Amino acid sequence: MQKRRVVITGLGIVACNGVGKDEFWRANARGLSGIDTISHFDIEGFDSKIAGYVKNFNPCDFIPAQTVKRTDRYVHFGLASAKMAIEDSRLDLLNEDRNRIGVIIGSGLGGVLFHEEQMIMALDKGAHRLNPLCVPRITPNAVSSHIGIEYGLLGPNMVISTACASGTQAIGEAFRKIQYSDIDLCVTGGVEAPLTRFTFGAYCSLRVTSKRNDIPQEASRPFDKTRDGSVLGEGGAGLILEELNHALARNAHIYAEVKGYGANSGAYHMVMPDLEGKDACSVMAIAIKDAHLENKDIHYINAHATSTQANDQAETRAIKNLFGEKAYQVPISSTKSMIGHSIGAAGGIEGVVCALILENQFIPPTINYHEKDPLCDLDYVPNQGRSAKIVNLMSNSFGFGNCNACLIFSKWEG
Amino acid sequence: MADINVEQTVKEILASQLNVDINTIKNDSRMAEDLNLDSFGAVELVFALEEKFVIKISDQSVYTAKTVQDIIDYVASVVAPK
Repeated sequence: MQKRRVVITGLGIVACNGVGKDEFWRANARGLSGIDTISHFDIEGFDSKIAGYVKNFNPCDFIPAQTVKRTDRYVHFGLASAKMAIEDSRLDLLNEDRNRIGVIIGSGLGGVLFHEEQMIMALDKGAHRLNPLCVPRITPNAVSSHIGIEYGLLGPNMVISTACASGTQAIGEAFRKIQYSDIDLCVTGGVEAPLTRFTFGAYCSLRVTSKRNDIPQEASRPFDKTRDGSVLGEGGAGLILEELNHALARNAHIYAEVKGYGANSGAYHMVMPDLEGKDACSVMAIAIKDAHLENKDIHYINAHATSTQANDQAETRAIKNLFGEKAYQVPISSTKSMIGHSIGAAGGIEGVVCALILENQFIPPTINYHEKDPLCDLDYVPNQGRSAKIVNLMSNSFGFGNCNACLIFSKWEG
Repeated sequence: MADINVEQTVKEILASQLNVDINTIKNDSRMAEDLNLDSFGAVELVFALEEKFVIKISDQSVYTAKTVQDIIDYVASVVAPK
C-alpha cells in the first residue's frame, strides 16, 4: 500500500515564553527564558522553587466560560492551542468530512490540578462530597474529548500517555493514521499542567529538578557541565496534520512535511536512561529509515535535552553512536533550556518549534551553555541562534519508563 | 435553615453555576430550554443545593423539575417539611 504524504498546516501554542506562534517564535529565536520563581502556590520546604509557569494566559480568551469552569488547567491548554491551530490552518470545518478528522493529544499526567484540589477537600469534608464532575475532569482523555466535542470531530480520538515522549508520540501516531488513510486530518500535539503542589513535589522528591533557585532563568542548562536537573514547565501545543493533496486542494499554507517517525523502548528502568544510549540511538535510526533518508540528510536535531546529567550524556552518546564523526557537524539545540520540561507537552511544543525552524531557516539556541562537559562535546548552538540551511531535521523525546519517540520533519519546497 | 431565603439562594446558585446575571433567572425560566442546563449542570446543581441547604436530594426530583419555581418548591418542601 502506498503511504500518503502528510504536512503541517496549522500551529497553536501556549508556553511560558510566549502564547501564540509569533510571540513564541520571537522568544525562542532570541533565546528568552520563561522560567521564574514559583508564586502561585506555597513552595516552602521544596528543594526546587522555580518553574516555567504560563503567566500571560486567560483561558476565557479562547474557551467558553462554562467550559473553563468545568475543566482542568491542562484541558485549557489543549483547547486554546487547538483553537489557535485550527484557526491558523484556515480549515472550514463546516465543509469538511469530520468523520475523517481525528484528535490525538499527548499528556503524561491528565487533570492533576483538579485531582489534587479534590483530594485536599475530601480530607476535610469527606469523600462523599467529591465534586460530581471529578471523573470527566481528571481523566487523561478529557483533553482530546473536549477538543472533539468543541469542533464536532468524529474521527479517532485519544490521548497518548508516554510521560515525556507523549507529545512527540501523539504527532507520530497522527502521522501514521493519515499515512495509512484512516483519516485525512488530525488535531495533534501535547499538553501538561503539572505545576501543582503534589505533582511538583513528586518531581522534587525524585531528585530530578534543578536547585538553582537564585537564578531561575539560568537554571535549565542542557549539556552544560554544571547542569543540576530539569526545571519543570507547563503548556500546550496544537498542530494540524493534513494529507498532502487535501492541503494542496484547498491551497493551505504548509509549514513543513512530516517525513518519518520512530518509537521504541529501552525496557531498562522507570527513570534512568541507558547511559550507552542504545535505545535512543536506535529510535533515531528507525525514524531516519522511515523517512527514507540517510544520516547525512539530517541538518539539525531538536534534542530531548532535559538538563539532567544522565539524559544529556546519554543523548549525546546516542547521537555520536548514530552519526559517528559527522555528529560534530550537526547543530543540536534544546527548547527546554528556555521553557523547562513540560512533560507531555514538551514533544508537541518542540514539534511547533521544528515547524517554525524549517519555515524560518533559523535555529534557536541552547541558552545557559557556558562550561563544556567532556562527555557532551557536540555543537549545541550555544546561547546565540543562527541562520542555517535546513532541509530535514529531527526531534527527540525520551520519556520516563524508557518510552522513546523521534520525528523527522522536512522543509516544504512547494 | 429557616433563615436562608430559598428562592434567592436557588437563584444565586444557578447564576453562579451558569455564569449569568442573577436577574436573568426568573421563577418561570425553564431549566433546559431557557437556562441551557445540561445533564452535567443538573448534577452540579443537586450537589450545590445539597451542600448549601444540608439536605439530601433524590435523583428524580431535580431531573424532573421543569422550571426554577419547581426547584424552589422542592427545596422548600425538604428544608421545611410540613
